[in-house]
Amino acid sequence: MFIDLAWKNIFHQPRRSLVTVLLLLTATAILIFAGAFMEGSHQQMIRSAVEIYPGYLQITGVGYQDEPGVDRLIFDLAAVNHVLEEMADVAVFSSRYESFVLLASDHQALGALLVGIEPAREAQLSRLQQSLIRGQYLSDDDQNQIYLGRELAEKLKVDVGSSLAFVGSGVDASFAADRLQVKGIFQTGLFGFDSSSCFVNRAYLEPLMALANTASHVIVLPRHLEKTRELTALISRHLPPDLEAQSWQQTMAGLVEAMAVDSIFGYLTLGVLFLVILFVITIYTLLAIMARTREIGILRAIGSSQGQIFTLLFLEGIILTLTGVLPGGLLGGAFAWYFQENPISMNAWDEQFKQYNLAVSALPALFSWAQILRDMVIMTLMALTAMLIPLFRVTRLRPTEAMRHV
Amino acid sequence: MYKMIHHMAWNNLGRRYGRSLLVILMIGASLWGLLFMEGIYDGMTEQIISNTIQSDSGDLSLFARGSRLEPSLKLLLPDTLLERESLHPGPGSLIKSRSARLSHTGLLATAHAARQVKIQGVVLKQEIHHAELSGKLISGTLDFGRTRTGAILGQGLAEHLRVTVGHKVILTAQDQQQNINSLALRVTGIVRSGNQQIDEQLLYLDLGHCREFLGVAQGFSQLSLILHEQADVHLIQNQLSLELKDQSLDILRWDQLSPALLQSRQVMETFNLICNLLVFCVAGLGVWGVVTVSVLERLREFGVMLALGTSFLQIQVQVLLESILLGLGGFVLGAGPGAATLIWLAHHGLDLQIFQEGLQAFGLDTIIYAVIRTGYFTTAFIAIFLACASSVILPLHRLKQARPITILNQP
Amino acid sequence: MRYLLFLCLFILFLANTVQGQATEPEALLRQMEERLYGDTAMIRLAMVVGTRRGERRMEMDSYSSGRDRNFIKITYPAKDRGITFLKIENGLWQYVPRIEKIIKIPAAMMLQSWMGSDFSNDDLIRESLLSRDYHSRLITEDETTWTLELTAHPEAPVVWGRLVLILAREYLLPLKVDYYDENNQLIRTLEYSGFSQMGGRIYPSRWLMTPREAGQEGRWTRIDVLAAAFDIEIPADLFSKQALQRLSR
Repeated sequence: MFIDLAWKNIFHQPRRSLVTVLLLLTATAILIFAGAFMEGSHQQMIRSAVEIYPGYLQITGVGYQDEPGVDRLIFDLAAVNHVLEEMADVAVFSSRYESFVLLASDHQALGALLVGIEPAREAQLSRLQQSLIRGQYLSDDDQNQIYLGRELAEKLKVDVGSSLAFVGSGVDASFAADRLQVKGIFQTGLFGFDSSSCFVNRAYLEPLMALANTASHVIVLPRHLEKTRELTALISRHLPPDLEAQSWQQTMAGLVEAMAVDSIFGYLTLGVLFLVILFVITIYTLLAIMARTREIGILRAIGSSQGQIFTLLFLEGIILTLTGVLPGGLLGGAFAWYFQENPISMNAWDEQFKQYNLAVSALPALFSWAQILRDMVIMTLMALTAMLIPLFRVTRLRPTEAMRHV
Repeated sequence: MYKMIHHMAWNNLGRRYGRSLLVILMIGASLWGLLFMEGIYDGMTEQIISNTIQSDSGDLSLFARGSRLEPSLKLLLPDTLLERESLHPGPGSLIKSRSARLSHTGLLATAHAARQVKIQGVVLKQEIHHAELSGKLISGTLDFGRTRTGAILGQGLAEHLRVTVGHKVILTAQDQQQNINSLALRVTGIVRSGNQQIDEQLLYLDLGHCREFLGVAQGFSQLSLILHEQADVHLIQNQLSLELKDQSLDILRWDQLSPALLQSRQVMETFNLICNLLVFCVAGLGVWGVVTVSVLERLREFGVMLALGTSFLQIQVQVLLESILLGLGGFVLGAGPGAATLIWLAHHGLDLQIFQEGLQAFGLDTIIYAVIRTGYFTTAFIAIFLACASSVILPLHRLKQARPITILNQP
Repeated sequence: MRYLLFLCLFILFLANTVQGQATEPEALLRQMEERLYGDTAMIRLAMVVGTRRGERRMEMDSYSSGRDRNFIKITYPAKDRGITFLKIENGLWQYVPRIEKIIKIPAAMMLQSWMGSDFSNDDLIRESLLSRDYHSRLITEDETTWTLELTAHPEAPVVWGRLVLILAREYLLPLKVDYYDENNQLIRTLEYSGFSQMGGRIYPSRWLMTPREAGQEGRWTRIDVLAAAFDIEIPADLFSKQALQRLSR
């Protein structure tokens, strides 16, 4: 009986019902889409930052991140490789040797970060190969071929085929120097990186810098990205005491927090909007109930209890809420899905991204059933709360008074 | 007669004060939230912009042609440039402050560590006024000492070198003749510009002392200008370009030097406008509902008034007035606490220490000061006014259609 | 590399032995340095760098004239043979035969990233003149030594707060120098030994530099002077960029 009554009442107050339903629909859709977009865009920005070069999991000597130097290298690379080869959760791993050198062209001599990499493996772990803009990426057979960033090439005034020289020092403090030929130029979009980094084949650099069985970093790509922290802990247990493994959450903590700050402010903004929406729902609920004061009075007079009235009104509230939230959820989810597959182009804002050292050209949303469900539940609870306040007020009416209500 | 309408409007609102209150509360609360948000977001954006403007680009900067892309001690602006009337700051001029800086890279060392620094040779009094250093000093004084051998460091730099006020530091750099020179300096002050990246390389020296050290007889790298009104920047840029076109100079605005900053500001403006729109559209819905109900439940009453000779226009005005009074009430309820909150935040700032790393990644300091703009209030006022005004259209239309006179005849 | 240039300083610093026996600290220092200007020296030496993981040995010939001109050629190991350095006025140049290039090393670059950023550059490009940059006083003396305390003048561009110098009476050459920073923390120690006749004067043939800061355990640098000649005729064109390449072979 209650349900019949509820339905009837809803249709008898089309305006209130429609407004409430539409508001909830819109609010739910917005909440879901905004959440999906924020989550998706943050993940994308972090992924870009991580995948361009730093990597998901880094193994270095203890303290190397804070104070790089020849004292804190990985001195037994073979042992680390052995440990990693045995692990099923490791998809790819590769070593790097980073050192600061003086790069000299015919025009300029500059400081730069020279990195000896394993080209074929590195291509699976980072975006160095994909960032190629001129010439070619390195191969495992290359000798004195160098792959450098666009801004660095510009500063040195070199192009593909030009020759360069580098002067540095090896692990054993000996001099390391040689002539190089520019094989390729890359552009990752990260200004700082592109203006100071260059790469050569590790096999070539080894004799020059006394790198046998030595590396500054071993980068690991986990098979399951969401389990990176677990893998990091697992690897740490198998490493000798002078080495440490860190996940990207640790090495890029600043960026992760920045994204969190952005999310918080995003939800704050949404919060203000939802505050208004919920107020409106409260108002409409109040109006609707007040309009039926007489009817309620009669119902009470003929024997309905307070509890029954409450249940009736609450039922109406639930029906309205779900009628708004469910389609809203689907709508929001549809938008999230669409923009996951078709990321929003951010070209108009590219200056901003460059400024913050983020290299993204398009941001996707992130479609997640869990998030959609969670947001729908939140919206439902908030809407019902908004409706409860007037409900409590009205059920305290005395029947005789109510019946005579004008 | 309008007095009567006014009187009746108040009465009507008071009759159902519960829902009137609710509407006012709705408008007030959302306005307060909106103001808070706008104040903080704009505060963040402006902080980033003003940090850059004060310690780097100014509203406008003059460089020797080409020196911005390839800095060199051979490409300097002449001292004679500073004598020009049009470049003098002051109450009569559009320029509020200026600072001539001699910039160069060097190495600052202690017994423990060495760091690359950006040397800024400045006339300290000018730079203090220009970059508002008094508010940024965290230890020591803004003074180069009697012998002008003092140095003022950015906080990040001082921390990396593990020095405090009174410590000696050694500066090494290549001078104009390509010789490598060294100089002993004492740390006299440490400043915090708010921008971590700048602070890690910032070294202020006395201009004269700096010139001696770098083997430069006269001249400077950059003339940074801050105007009384930032909006005048295009005007001044054109004026100066014309006046100085025979000198080989580059005259660049702050947004040309850092395009991302202008974009931030524009994005914020648009964002605030959209928020205002959304929030008050929805609020308008609330007002609409209330007005509709209040109109429809007084059909009889309006019927009586019409019968007595009140024109329909007068009734429309009354209803409109009721709606607007609600809006006004909400505005006052929101604007009052909102303004108070913003004023407090503009003075004390919002301390977001827990998000330090994240904020620094954005180039922000951990304390955010809110911005207060009359625009917030006027935009909100207009939006509320429009929302309330438009919310009476439909109800009044229905009222007309409902033919109150005929209703009178109903029992 | 930094040890190499640090080495230049000490070669110049010790190019002369003090013959007099003046006891005033300033006079002692001045006498030591009086001979530094206008004097020339050729020294053949080996430098051994010790780290926790092992030692590495280099040999080189060094020519100097006065305090501000120095030419060095690496002779061992074979991998590095032929690398030459030139220090004139305040500039540092390097020639590497493998790349056939003369490179001017920019100050900031050389001292910071390429060379490692946690060492002071005091000993590298800019020499300090003890008599000019420090105020000296005698702390104590015994039969064989004088101990001097050198306090840096405020305007002297040296990173050390003070030095404690132990001078051997017999040779008027240092036995040990302790370097303290401004907070009076001991940063490093330089010890001299193996005093013998070389090139007509008494000269320490072994110098050992040991960093003393926490975290630097197991690191040291030792210089063994293999041969030396003083006050010889050194052609001026040796201290030129052309010489860098010419004498590399």
